[in-house]
Amino acid sequence: MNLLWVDDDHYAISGLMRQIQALGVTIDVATSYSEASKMIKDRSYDKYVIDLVIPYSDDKDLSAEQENERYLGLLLVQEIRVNNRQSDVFVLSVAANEVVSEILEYMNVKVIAKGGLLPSDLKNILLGTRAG
Amino acid sequence: MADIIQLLKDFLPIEIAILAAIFIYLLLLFKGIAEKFISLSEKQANLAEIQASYLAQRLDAVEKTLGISDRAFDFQEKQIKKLQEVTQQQEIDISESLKAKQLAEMKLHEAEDKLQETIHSLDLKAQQVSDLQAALTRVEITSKADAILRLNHELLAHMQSVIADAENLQLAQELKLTPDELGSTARRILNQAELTVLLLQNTQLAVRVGDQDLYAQSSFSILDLIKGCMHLFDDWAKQKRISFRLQQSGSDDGFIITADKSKLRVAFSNLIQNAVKYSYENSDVVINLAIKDKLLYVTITNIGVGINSDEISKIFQAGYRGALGRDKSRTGTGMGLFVARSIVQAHSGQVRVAESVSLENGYKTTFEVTIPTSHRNSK
Repeated sequence: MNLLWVDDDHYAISGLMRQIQALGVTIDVATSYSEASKMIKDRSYDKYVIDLVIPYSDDKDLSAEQENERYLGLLLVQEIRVNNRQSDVFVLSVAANEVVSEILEYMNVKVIAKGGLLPSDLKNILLGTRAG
Repeated sequence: MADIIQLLKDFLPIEIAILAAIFIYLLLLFKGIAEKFISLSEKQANLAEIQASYLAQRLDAVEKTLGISDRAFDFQEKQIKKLQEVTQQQEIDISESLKAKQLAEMKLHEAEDKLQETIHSLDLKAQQVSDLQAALTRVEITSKADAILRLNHELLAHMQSVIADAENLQLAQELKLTPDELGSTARRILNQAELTVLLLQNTQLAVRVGDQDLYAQSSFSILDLIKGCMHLFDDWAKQKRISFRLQQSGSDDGFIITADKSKLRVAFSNLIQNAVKYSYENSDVVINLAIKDKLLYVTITNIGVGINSDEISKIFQAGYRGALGRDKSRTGTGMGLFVARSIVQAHSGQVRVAESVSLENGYKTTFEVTIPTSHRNSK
């Protein structure tokens, strides 16, 4: 099983994925919208975990037109859903609000609140198994 | 008559004498009548003369009157001419007055228009002021809520890291964590806890800005302190493939200063955190230390999102986030630079930044901190 994790702050919270890794899941990491967008086009993953607020690129900033794209993660979700209705897509974020949640629900995306999440809980949510 | 007859009868027969006497009598009578006529004529002539004289006098008087009249006429003509001139002048004056009046009216209209415009623009200004006040109130409310939300966001991110690593340590055996993994996990917990403390110190200092009671002095190595600050952001820098380069003018033991150590740790941590946050990947953050004439100079240079010339004055304001840093992923409380400058100023120092220089791979920005190596508290 493979998983794409998009989070610019993945290093600090990499402990969250440690228990999933222990089960043999391959995890690819992207830290920006442009990097992830390219990876999505190159191949498909079984599962996607995406942060809503991510940088556009690691080596340049947003143009003035893109300034209002507050949730670049949402853009990624749309890109995934265009070609892939079946994969499990999760949004892992502290920024999810009601409006975004509604859109995500419509796109069959589960929202996981970041903050007090235990790695074992995340494992259960992502893989649908009960912790032993 | 009888006398005449008597006289004549001596010379002439009586009949003739009677006839002659009648004739003479008649002659005398005629003479008397003639004389009376003459006398009457004379009288009449006298009267005529008198009348003529009177007429002459009248004529003279009339002539005189005429003369007077002529003069009066001349005078009146002159007067009329004068009056005409005066009238003409008055007409000119009136015409000029009319023109002046029209001009004045035009100017009055213009002034009225301008007044209207001014009133209108004043109304507009008043409206703008009222709009601004309303916006300001909204901003105040939103910014307070925003500041709390940002702080909340940051704390949640740190806590998420700590909680995840802590559970993994708890399940270390089950997860078969290697000694290296154990070490790095513990280090990360420590680092996240330190960053949390930095966040809380910033919050405290942002609220109690300028409070001299918070400051205490000791002598320490600013070089070691800055190395410690850099260490706080090692993991983050590594993740962004950013290298720290520390440059110093002078030997390691030449950087002892007297100041508030914990506050300067917050100030330099904030400045270094700011440099890493706004750096692009694969770049260097260069920190330079020098002491000259009892002044400590520290410069922190990074390449990435720059600072506009018009926002240089704003970036040190509490809650300000850079205009060029459009990317919403650069989270933060917007307190870092504000607190850093407050701390440096409390040490009688300065934080300066110039407009970023555009390079091929981004904007080069340099913050320069100057602090007296021995600051005497003003208290």
